[in-house]
Amino acid sequence: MLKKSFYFLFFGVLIFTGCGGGGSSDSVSSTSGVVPILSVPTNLTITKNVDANFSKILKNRGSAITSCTVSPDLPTGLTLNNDCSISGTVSTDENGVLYTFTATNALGTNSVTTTIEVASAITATISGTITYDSVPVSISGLDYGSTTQKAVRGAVLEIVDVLGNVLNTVQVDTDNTGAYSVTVDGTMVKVRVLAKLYKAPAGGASSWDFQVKDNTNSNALYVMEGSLASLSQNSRNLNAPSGWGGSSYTSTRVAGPFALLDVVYQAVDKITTAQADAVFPPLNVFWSKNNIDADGDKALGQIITSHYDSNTNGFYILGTENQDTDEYDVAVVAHEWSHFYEDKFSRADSTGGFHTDADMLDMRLAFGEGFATAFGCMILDTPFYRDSLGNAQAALSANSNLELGGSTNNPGWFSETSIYNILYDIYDSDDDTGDTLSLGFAPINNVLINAEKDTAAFTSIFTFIKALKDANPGNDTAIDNITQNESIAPITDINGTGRTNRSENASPLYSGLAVGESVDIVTDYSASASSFTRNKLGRYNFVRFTIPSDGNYRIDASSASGTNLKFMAFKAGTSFIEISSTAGNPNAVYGTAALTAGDYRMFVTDTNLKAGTTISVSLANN
Amino acid sequence: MKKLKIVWTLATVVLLVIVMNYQNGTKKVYKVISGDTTKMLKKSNLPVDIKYTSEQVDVNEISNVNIIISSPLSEGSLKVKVKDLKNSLEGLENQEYTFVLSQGTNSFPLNFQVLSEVNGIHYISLIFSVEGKGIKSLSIPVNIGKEVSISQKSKITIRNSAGTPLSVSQAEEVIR
Repeated sequence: MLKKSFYFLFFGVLIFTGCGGGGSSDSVSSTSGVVPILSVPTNLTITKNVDANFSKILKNRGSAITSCTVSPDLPTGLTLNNDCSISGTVSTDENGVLYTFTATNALGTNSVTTTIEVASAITATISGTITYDSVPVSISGLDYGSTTQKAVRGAVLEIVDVLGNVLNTVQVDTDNTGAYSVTVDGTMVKVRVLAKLYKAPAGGASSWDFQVKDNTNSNALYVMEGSLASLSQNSRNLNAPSGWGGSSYTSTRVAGPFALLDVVYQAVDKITTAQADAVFPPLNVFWSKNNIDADGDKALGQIITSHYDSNTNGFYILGTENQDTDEYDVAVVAHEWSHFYEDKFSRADSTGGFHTDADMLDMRLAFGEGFATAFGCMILDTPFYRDSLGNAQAALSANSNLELGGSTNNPGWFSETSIYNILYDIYDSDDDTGDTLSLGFAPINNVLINAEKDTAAFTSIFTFIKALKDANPGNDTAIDNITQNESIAPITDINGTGRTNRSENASPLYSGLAVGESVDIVTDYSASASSFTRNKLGRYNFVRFTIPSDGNYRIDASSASGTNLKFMAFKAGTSFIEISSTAGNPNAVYGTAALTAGDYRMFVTDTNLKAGTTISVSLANN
Repeated sequence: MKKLKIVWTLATVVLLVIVMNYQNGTKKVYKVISGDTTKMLKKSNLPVDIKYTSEQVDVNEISNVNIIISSPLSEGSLKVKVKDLKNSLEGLENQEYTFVLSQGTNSFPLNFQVLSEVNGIHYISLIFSVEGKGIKSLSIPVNIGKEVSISQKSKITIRNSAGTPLSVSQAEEVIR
């Protein structure tokens, strides 16, 4: 009986499922495909005696075409194929004739008309200017009312024929007009401008390959195009419009990629003035109107924020209207570019994490972020760092003036604001409170790509200023005045000796250690007390030691019960982890490794932030 | 006894049908998407982060969205303006919340139930502000439909002779 009931129940379920399934989308059948949807330019000029493969011109966005007719007959030498493509070569001139193409598939037919002319190729020089709509960022956010057309500088420009062939490629001039001039052989052409800066590698010379791509569209390179027109019309001025319609974006934001490209252009221009042979690794700038401040899939535009990503050799820039767009926030773009430059040409020891102007940060993060803001503003030659957001991009989430040194909230060696004020004052030619120095860009760049890259200590304001003073000995007093303006006592070494500001976190900043010895570090978490502050001042404690000879070594770190210790050590001039806490208990960890002779830097941290503790660190032969 | 068995069987079937009907009327959650903005190095602005989950459901089905807002700030009031970024969600009239910040961990939950008649990715926009500290925006995606993707309708993509995909836009042009 039970068995019968089971069958009955099962049958009932089957019936029900079958009924329910009838309403699901999976069971709905529909006829797929659409009639041919043809498009073709109004006028086509075919070059005489040139092979004409027009599959790219007669475009079909419908289902596959099964047959195709044309009326009247095509010029002698041309063949119409079943898919409406055209092939062949014409050997005689022909004035314009209106042709009607009719395409058919299983679902219907569609017709288009075009006037075809056959002409001999001519040689002509096309010239003009290339510009983009530039929207300035003011204290009220993006100021669309003050939009100007700025030159697209240094971009790659192509002359393209009706078949899509690139007839010639040039670089748009690097002046402030965006002028170009290019000579080609052909009949009907259009101008295409790539959001790309390119200079081919050549022995001993600078080179680069920077491209602006759409991460939400197969990483496609942004380009803007003019219309196909006779080569006899040889003056072509192109402008990339912003797409702004008065209160919102109402058309394609063509200018966005070119606004981004121009910041990169300024960066390259600035750096090559100081480093003429700079060979830049390829870099992609990923931007899309879909790029939004959400976490998720970057291919869907969910990038959280504008940021540099060393894993993809690119930086991502926000673009979602009425939320946060950054393509016109030039200081934000230059800041991200500076992270790329620091990563590839110098060394970045920053911890990451969130940070604000008034924070007391881990010195590595403070320097990394302060440097990027200052360096970006040097590239743009402006002291203003502004970041727009919100409805109609009419608000600011950041508005800093790097000339306001001396008025920083929580100033010091742990403040990104102090760092960018100091670096910009050293760079700029405007004297202000505490600032009489105008070193310019090259000395700062030289320190960044040389001493800062190879320093034995963690990258910080101490390593940078020490190297800058060493390289510019006549400016010691002026540099000290600038750092003291931010409550930083004169810097005399890379280890931050002699701190008078937040000395509880710097007495000493680095604990010295030798083989066969141990050192006790007294922790102070008064500036990093909450669980959100993994990158704040005091969270990490620093140790330095010298390995006298190659060999096997062991480092131990121990503290009170309830602590959770971690450490990592790095050799001078590298970011490679040589030895770390890989064994032991949470409050007594150790690591062993074969180390080569040289100077090392190390951090040790208690992730539990247990107050009132001492951490003992020892180094021994193993 | 036989009658009892028949009644039991019929009752069981009726009950099962009721249960199945109920289940069929219940939404199907294709996926619960989650996010955490703490993992990214931020632009320098208001220190606020979110962790969230949102249910990917069919059109006209309710998606539960759960958000935890966190901030290390220890004083002031955190204002949160909530809006439907694309005006495509129901159940999310423009709202504003205020949370009092204090020493220690500041963690504030927000929960929404939203639905949409349109397949695709929708966004809940949060604009945070603290007087004297600044403002910041973050978004939560809400996926509607079994498959979601960004509309490709407005995109013109071709490949050049080197095979590079190009995103082509029309320039304003003056030809002479």
